Amino acid sequence: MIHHTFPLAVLQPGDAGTVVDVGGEGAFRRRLLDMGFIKGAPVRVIKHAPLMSPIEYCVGGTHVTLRRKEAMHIVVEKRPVCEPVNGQICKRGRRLGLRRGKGRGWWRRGTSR
Amino acid sequence: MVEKRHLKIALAGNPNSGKTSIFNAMTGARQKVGNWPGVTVEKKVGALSFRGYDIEVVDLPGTYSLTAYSVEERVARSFIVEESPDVVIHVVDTGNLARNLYLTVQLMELGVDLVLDLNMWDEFEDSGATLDLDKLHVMIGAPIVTTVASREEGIRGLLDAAIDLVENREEHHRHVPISYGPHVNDVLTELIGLIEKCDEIASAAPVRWTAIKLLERDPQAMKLASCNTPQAAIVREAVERLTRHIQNATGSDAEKVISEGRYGYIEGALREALTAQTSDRMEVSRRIDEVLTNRFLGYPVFLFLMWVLFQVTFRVGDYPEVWISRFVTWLGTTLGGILPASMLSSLLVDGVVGGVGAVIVFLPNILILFLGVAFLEDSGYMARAAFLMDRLMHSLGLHGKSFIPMLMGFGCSVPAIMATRTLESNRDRILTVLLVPLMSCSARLPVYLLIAGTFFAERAGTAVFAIYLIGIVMAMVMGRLFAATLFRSAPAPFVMELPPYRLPTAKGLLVHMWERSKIYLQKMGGVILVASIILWFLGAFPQVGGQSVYEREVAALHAQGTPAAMAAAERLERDRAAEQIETSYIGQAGKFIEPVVAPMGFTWEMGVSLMTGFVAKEVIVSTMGVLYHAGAESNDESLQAELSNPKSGVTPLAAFAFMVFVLLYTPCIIAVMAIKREAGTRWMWFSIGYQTALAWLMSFGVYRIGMILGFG
Repeated sequence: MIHHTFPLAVLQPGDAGTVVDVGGEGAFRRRLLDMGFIKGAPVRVIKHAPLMSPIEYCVGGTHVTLRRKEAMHIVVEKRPVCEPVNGQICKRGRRLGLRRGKGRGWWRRGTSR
Repeated sequence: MVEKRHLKIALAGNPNSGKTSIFNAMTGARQKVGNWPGVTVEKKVGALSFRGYDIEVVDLPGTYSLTAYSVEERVARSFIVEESPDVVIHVVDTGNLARNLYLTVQLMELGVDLVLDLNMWDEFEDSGATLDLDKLHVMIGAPIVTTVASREEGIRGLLDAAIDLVENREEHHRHVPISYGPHVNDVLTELIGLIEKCDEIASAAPVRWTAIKLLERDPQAMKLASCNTPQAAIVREAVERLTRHIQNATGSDAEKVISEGRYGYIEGALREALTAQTSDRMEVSRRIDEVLTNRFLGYPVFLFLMWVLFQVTFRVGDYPEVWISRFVTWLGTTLGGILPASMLSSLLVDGVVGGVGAVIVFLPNILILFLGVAFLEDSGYMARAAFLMDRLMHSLGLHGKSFIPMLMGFGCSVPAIMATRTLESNRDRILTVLLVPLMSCSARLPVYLLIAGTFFAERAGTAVFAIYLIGIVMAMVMGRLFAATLFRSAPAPFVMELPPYRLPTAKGLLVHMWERSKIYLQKMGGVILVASIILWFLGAFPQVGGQSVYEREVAALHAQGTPAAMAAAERLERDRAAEQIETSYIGQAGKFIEPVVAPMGFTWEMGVSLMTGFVAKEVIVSTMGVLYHAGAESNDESLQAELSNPKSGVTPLAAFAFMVFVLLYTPCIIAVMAIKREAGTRWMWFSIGYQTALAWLMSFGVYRIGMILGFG
């Protein structure tokens, strides 16, 4: 099976994945590692802030926010379902019917890169 | 009598783990709040007696890790390494074990005597999960206690565990070495052997910890290893070789591999001990967030909450403020009536009573604002507010959490600057402190009302609005400028936890509110009082000669009792007051700086008023009133008439430039003290300097460009 890796920022609310690599450097990268963004950690996109950045993620049971450009440093492998890890379940962010579907409306621009 | 034994306990833990609640429950009101030496990170120390021990509890800053990257983490780890507390209690949010135990593992690396406190145990049990404490104990090696800090349950058990540990170390505590996987383990053993041969490095900190930190290329550990001995050189060489080895063997750098190793260890431990929870603890929070961080409702709700906070702080807080100032005025006049007129009574009445009044007048605002801020923080909404505002604030080089202090700046800079404590990163905090005074505070409004009312008549509203706008634009410009020059280090990443919503406890809120107010009164009150007295002195001395002549003449006129004589007496009094300010040190200084303010079209009276405005911005109005031999209120017609009189030498353009200057120049003495407290002395001077320079440049620009455009 071929796996596709993406920057985390590309994933849409409701999408899930597994962390493959954490880029960036120094304090920033260390902070990501400390918050649980390590290889193999399950991550799920909960929601965007109204202005599209920052974004709320659930990583290994913790809800963490990242700015969009910060989330570009994390490489993930997209996963179809989210399995519980360490007894922590990341529930998908329920979206309004309006937001279902991708690429609809101007606010999606810039996220599909 | 048996001598009481001393015990030093440090509380470590993640932010939002309920560490502060545990601390409050342990120590009650017996706590002292100060700063850690050399940094503006808060240090809280409490005391209690338990089982014959005098226990000192130190609340370490809330951290996720023990790196050398953030001030908080450096403070926490150097306290543990250098002051070696007898016991470190690690407070853990049991609902989020994996992430919390990450810090536990690092405390284990440090080899401290650890007690693991599984806090919020009730929430954890309600979630339907189970945890085998014995199995966890085997993996951690430290005694484990469960607590519910919000209900103060399990606190005695926690203290018992800490004392048992001290009295009977071997029985309760085993040091469990953590396995990071085969590659790192072998490397670590080799490096530890080399470090043990080098006394300089080995004596400074636990060897295993140093070895791990060296492999992580921790800046402080690298500095430690940079000493000039052959053994240290061997260690350095080994670190280079071994990190390369890890890189080659795993395809990933050592820091990452070690972090993964820690999480791997935790995962292994929890796989044995933890069964999955049946309900998601974030479920309720997620529902609430559907409204509070909703794409459409998020901002309206946020703005409404901010409006409420602002109104309550500054409108409701206004009532006690008015009572306080009335009381202070009453005290002043009563004292003035009792004491015979002398220099001493003048010092007491105008200097001391006035100074104390200036200090406590802010107390209602501070009490209310910090009650509100504590509620926002403890409930978990503060993180959401930052989430909503970060995009906007980040474009100014600031953090989402900067919004609340900036907004409060429109009320008063003093509580606003104190509210920057909610920002975790030092850089963001100082930057916010520097920009808050550009938000036009309510004390500046009387000045605008006077000037705009006098010179811009029906367009006064527009003029005042323009001033507020200039303040905001300047904050944006300076924010970007500072971010690009002084704070080149990358802004703190917005890696922020969104904790579950919780109902704050009354005790937690009250302690927080009381703490802030105590800091204000104790740490700032004294300095403000002294400064007020000095400023009063500079305004009252040297005294005008011929006082008695004045008084005799006034008395004679009063004796005549005719309306004309009374008016003449009043005129004489005003002349005297004006002469007093003019000849005082402040007046002399104001006149001395006339060449500096003249290019902006200001008269020397305006210069003197600006000098006195350092006490409090609204004082500018009363000084102008005195200097122009008129009333001292912003809506006083006699003062407006004097100002608009061509003889005053003030043009509308200069008046506008004056408003710009008042907006931008140095914050008042009390705000300056708040800056010193939150950012340190260096930044205090910087703040005074840059704002005054900015004010001058802007006013000069407004005046000169206005002249060229023909508005003069």
